[in-house]
Amino acid sequence: MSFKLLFKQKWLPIAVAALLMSIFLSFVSPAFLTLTNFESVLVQASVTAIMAVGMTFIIILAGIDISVGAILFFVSSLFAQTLNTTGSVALAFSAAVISGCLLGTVNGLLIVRFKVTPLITTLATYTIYRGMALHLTSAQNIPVPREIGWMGNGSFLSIPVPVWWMLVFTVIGIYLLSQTRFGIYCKAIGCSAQSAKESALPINRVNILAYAIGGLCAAVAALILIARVGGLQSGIGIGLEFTVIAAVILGGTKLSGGSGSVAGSVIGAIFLVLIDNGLNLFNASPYIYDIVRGFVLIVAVLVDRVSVIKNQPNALKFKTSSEGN
Amino acid sequence: MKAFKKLVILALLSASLLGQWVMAKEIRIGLAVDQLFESRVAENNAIKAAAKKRGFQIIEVVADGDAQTQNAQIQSLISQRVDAILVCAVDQNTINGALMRAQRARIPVIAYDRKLPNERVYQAYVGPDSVQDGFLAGQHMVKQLKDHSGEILVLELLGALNDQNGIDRSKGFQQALQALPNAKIISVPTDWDSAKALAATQNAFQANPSIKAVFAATDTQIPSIETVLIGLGKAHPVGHPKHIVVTGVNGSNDGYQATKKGFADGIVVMNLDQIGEKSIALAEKLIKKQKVEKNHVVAGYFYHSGNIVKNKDKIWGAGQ
Amino acid sequence: MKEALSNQLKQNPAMPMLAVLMILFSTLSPYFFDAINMESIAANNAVILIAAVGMTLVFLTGGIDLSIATVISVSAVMAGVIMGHTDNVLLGVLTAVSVGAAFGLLNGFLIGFLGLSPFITTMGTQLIARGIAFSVSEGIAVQGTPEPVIDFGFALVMGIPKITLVSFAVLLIVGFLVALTSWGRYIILLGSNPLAARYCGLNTRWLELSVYLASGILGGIAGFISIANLGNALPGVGDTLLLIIIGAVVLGGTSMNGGEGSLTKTLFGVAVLAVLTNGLNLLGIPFYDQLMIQGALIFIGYSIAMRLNQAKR
Repeated sequence: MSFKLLFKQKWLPIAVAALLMSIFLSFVSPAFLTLTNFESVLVQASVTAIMAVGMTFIIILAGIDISVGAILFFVSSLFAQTLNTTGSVALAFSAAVISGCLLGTVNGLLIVRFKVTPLITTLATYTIYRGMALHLTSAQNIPVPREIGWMGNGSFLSIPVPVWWMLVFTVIGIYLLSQTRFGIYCKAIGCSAQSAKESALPINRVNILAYAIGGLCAAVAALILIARVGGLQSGIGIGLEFTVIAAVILGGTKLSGGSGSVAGSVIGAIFLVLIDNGLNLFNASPYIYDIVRGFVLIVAVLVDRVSVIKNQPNALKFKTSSEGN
Repeated sequence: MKAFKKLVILALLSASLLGQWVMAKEIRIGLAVDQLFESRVAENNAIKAAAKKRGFQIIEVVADGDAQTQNAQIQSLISQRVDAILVCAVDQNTINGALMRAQRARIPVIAYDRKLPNERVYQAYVGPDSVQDGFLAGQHMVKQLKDHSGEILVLELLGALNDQNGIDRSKGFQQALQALPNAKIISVPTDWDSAKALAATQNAFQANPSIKAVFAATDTQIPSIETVLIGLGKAHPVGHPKHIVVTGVNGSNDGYQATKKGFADGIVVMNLDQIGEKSIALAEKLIKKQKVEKNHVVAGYFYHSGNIVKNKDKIWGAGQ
Repeated sequence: MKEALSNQLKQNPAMPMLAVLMILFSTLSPYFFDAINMESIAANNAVILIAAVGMTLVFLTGGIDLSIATVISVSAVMAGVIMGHTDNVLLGVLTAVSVGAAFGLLNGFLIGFLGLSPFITTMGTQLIARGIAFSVSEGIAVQGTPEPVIDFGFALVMGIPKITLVSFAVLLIVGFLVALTSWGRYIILLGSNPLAARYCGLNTRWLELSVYLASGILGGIAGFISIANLGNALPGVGDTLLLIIIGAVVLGGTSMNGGEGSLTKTLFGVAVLAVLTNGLNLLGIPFYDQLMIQGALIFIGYSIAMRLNQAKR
């Protein structure tokens, strides 16, 4: 791969940032450069990273889904409740995966059929899914036996299972985005919905599929997370959506759509964990985390903007469209 | 004289009829809940059961962690002219206004689970003794650790920093740990969230690999601790020389199972059934305009792996 | 007359919704039209109304301000701390407004001048504001609110809570600015056709900055009012408010794409959500079902509003 090609990769800035952060952390704490620590960082990042893969497609389509945290909550509730009442592991897993895809599809259908802004649609479904989840379990915690939690706690060939899943989703995601028609359509539609329409691209189907994938990612992430916390716990997953969106943006995907990087989103998720790691090493007050994360987000968009300005000097003065996002 | 007797009898009859009518009108109790999560739901269920026994109706409102919503909900309970209000405050400092209005409307207020600093706004308080609960857990931990030499690192997972119960459990725990002069406590807040506890424990062990004990302000976080320790190869059962001492407060199924299988050394169990029963009993007395004591503290009990199974029915979360 | 009424209905999709809900709840619950209940609805939505006004302005330009809710928190906390130390109410008000303005300027500069995406930028400033609010207050309610502020929160004028009157005043003032000044017209032009705004010679950068600045200031005012309403500055007061604010503005019929909307619409949107929540509580609908109903209503309300907006074109 020539250097020119490397510099064009959208995930390069976040990869560099992650690398610099790692070097910095290894100076500050000797414990950082150990294998167990690497493993722990990757495992911690896995939940966000997998969801970020799905979110990447949605954002490339110039859409957004702020209900993914609630989908995770619902899937966890359904999984634990099914396991509890039927005792069948297979049934519980199937219910989890199917419900995730279903809820994602519902999001897609509502957006496509009623043409309501994705932000508002998923805002509405966020409250609905959350209500459904609470209703299902009457706000109780439901433990999941540790053996069944192999999704989150097991390891295969001495690599933790969550890391495997992260790898699998990353590879499939990269392939989908760059090598399939679906991926190309996503980028085209996100770039210009008008031209896509004129080219008779299957806009509706692509959108629904993207949101369904987002739901599937949330379902897998749910299975990992509840395994690690020991079962369905109050409010699990609620609030995750913003971390996921942040990871995707940090990874180089543009909120206005049209281009993006699955690898970038995954590295973005890892980068966020590294920040937490770093703050923790400094025994930072828990509230500093929010300030730092907000700051990092703004810097990331700034950096991105600077690169755009370098290429289009008029971009600073000229806003050609009103972006709601 | 005859007329006077008739009058007296008439008066007595009407008084008793009136009394009957007052009693026959169904008693409605407003239940203002801060947020729905496992132990709160169990507490509320105990309250509802106690109310059902007495034929009282419960009107439940949940504030979902928002102080402003809770104030509005309490006002709606006042509008509905409930006979008493049972309240677990979202924020013990911000609820004064709403409860003052209840006082003005002459509706008795019983605070449950969370103490309120302003004595003028409630008639009675029923709840756990969180300082003692934390102390019991710490006391047991001290017993397990006293033979260790050198610095003893202890990880304390705090609850939410604005929750009086969390603050008190920490206070009690740290008080107990003073009996161990070479103990050093690392405190990390978790907002009562298990995913945060997971990350906090992971990070703490990464920065301080020699932690010898972990205290969880809520035992629902114990499975997260277990996940981290298993991942680090440090999850040894009670009795093993390298066992890391784990205790918690609450009484959920997570805590019960963890203690039963010997991962956790023990948990302090809150007596939610009694808190529920007492709240309604106090409400009943106050509605009948009887005098009651202000503070009713219901003590928690500590159970360790040795005796937890035979006390299963005293643990509200066990075996759900 | 009929045509005027039906025009009005088309303009304000939230109005019939409000009417329906009010009729529904007053039939189903004897406590709904009670004075205490109405007063409670009014008082507890003052903060939301003020913030919703700010959000409406931002929506009109086609942007979004995710930080407004946590700006409420941080202005409240800063004002609370200052008042706790100095017992000076005026200083508290000035602090709240200044903190809000500071965040507004930051947002306005990043979005208006540097052209950053409003969504991500305000997501960032939202986190920063929240972090500061919790750090300064250490996570607990700020003590030492002066008596006059607490009394103001309880006070009524002819049965209407004073804080609600403040929110109405804010609504009226900003409403006049939008409807009657050139600034208002420019904002709407910017939202509906940014290119045209440029070509008309408008300084779109300052225009956009002014909108976010206004939103920030309104967030600051709302923050101070929240202290009056609750009796304390709470660092977490804004956390649950963001979705309600967005939901209310959207339900009212203001478009997120810009150029379409008004403050009257927002007033009705806030009222609909307020009445809905209150009514559901009075009817004893379980909490989780309330969530689902709210979500469904926001979606339906927005679809209707959108259809009506499109039909106008």
